[in-house]
Amino acid sequence: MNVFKIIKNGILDENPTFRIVLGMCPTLAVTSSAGNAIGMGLAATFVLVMSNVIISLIKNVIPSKIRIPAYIVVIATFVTIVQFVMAGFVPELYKTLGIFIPLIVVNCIIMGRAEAFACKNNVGASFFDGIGMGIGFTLALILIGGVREILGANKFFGFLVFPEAYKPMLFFVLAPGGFFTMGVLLGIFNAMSLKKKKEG
Amino acid sequence: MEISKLLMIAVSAIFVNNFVFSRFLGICPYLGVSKKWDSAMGMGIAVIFVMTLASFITWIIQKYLLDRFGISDILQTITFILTIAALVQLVEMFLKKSAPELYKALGIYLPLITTNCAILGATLLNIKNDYNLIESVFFGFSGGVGFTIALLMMASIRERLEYAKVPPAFRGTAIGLILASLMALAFGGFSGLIGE
Amino acid sequence: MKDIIRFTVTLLVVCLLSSGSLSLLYNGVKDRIEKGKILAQEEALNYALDGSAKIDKIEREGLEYFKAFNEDGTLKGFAVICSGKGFSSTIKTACGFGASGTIIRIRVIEQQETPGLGSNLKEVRTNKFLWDIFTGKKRPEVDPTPYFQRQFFGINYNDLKIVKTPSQASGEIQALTGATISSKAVMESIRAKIGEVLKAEGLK
Repeated sequence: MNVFKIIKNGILDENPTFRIVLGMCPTLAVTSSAGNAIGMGLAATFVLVMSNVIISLIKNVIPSKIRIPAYIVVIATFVTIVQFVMAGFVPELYKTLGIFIPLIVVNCIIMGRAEAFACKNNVGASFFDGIGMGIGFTLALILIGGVREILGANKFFGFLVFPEAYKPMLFFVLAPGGFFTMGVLLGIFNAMSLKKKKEG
Repeated sequence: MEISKLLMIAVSAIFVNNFVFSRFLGICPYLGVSKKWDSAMGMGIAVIFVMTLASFITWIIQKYLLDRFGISDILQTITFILTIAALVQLVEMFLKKSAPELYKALGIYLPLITTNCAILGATLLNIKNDYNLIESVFFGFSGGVGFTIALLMMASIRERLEYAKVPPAFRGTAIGLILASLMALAFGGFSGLIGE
Repeated sequence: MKDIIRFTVTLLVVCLLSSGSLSLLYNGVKDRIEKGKILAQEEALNYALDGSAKIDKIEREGLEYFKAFNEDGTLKGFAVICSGKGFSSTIKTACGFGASGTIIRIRVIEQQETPGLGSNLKEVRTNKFLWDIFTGKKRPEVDPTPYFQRQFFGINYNDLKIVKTPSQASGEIQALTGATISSKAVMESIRAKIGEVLKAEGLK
């Protein structure tokens, strides 16, 4: 088992956001600022890691015909745990992210990793796969959130970025700007991998 | 009063706070099933159907089970997602038996609906906005209609996009997102419809 | 038949385990969540009143508000939680005011308005640049009060008025760009609530 390979796979080769293009809803909805993006990324990472571990533990006990509902219950349990913790410790962030916290349940990345990785691999590998995928997802969210916040509000984690002469383009913080930023970034990533393929 | 409130909910859910363009719900099917008009239509109708039903059932579960026993904080997420998953299965089995024609048209889209966050999102929003039973069902229905409109618009544009010269890096999802951005910009014009 | 029993039992066990562990965990964090909520409200009310020696909670005819006293026992003012329907959420504001209806301070405590527009209700103007971290440059402290909320301080509730241009007269509140509905919701909820409290207290 190559830990680094599994983690690198999640961050680069199979980045859930820019490579497999999964979990678009939270990606677009919570990235109006980089701070929100980190909160969402960490919450999803926790659920991803824990559900990966539990599912790889119980994969032999659960008959394959009812595995989907069983996985849904496992994932929903961890999402509820995240809800408790966030409501108790970071109520402001919890309110800002709103229904997108419970909606982690239907985030295709988590179900996708359960089906594609956790139910075929052992606990250790599943754990690191969860970590890699989670970091990949979080980094992607921070990138999108950062671009939108810097261009749209001239701020990054609450600090000003450009001198006052720069008038922020509000478009990027609003919904259309979310789609636009994601589309352009995806195009850039595609272009990079196309170039790599041509060379290699 | 009642009618005007319902109308307000419909206008808000379809145009102003459209599920796809302003709430960011249901983006995955919106990008995935919008390549052809026919499949977009099938998906849209399936979503309207399940969303209306799910709004009805989850509202009853919330009021008569979760609220009554005070366990809404603990079990809301789990019960709602399981209800939707079970509902989708039941609808699938029912259609298979009683309406094979319809099943043929919608069948392949139904399993995809369980993980469509628009459905779970609609049921959670119903509770959050304190809607009563009729308003919830209405919100579910109009939310589905809003989603379908977005999906059909996207599908009809994409069918033409087949013949356009798109840079290779942007083919597929990337250009789809840029299109969605332009459409969301246009839908932003509706935001003056409610309020003042 | 055997399969059905096996499936049912397996799913039942999974559900039982999950709900059991959740309820255990919930009991652990419940107090914290509740306490956090109460603390946040208390803090907001104290802020809105600019500090006071003693606060009494009063409930009258379905109206809930707080009466605050100075150290010498004289009346300092009142505080209420006002809520109004904004563009996409209910906006809750803590508001403190004197017996004449002059607002002391306000603080928006709950809102889920559109990011970048209505969410600017809580936006603070800053002068700290990202590269200050590296250059170590110190800049003068700025007012940590959100600039929208600042406009309400010291205004009598009768004079409140939302305008779309920079305010000319006292009491004119400049609406946030692109978020007139959110701005109006805050202003109207405050005005209505202060009126109600003063009426209940027989001061109007």
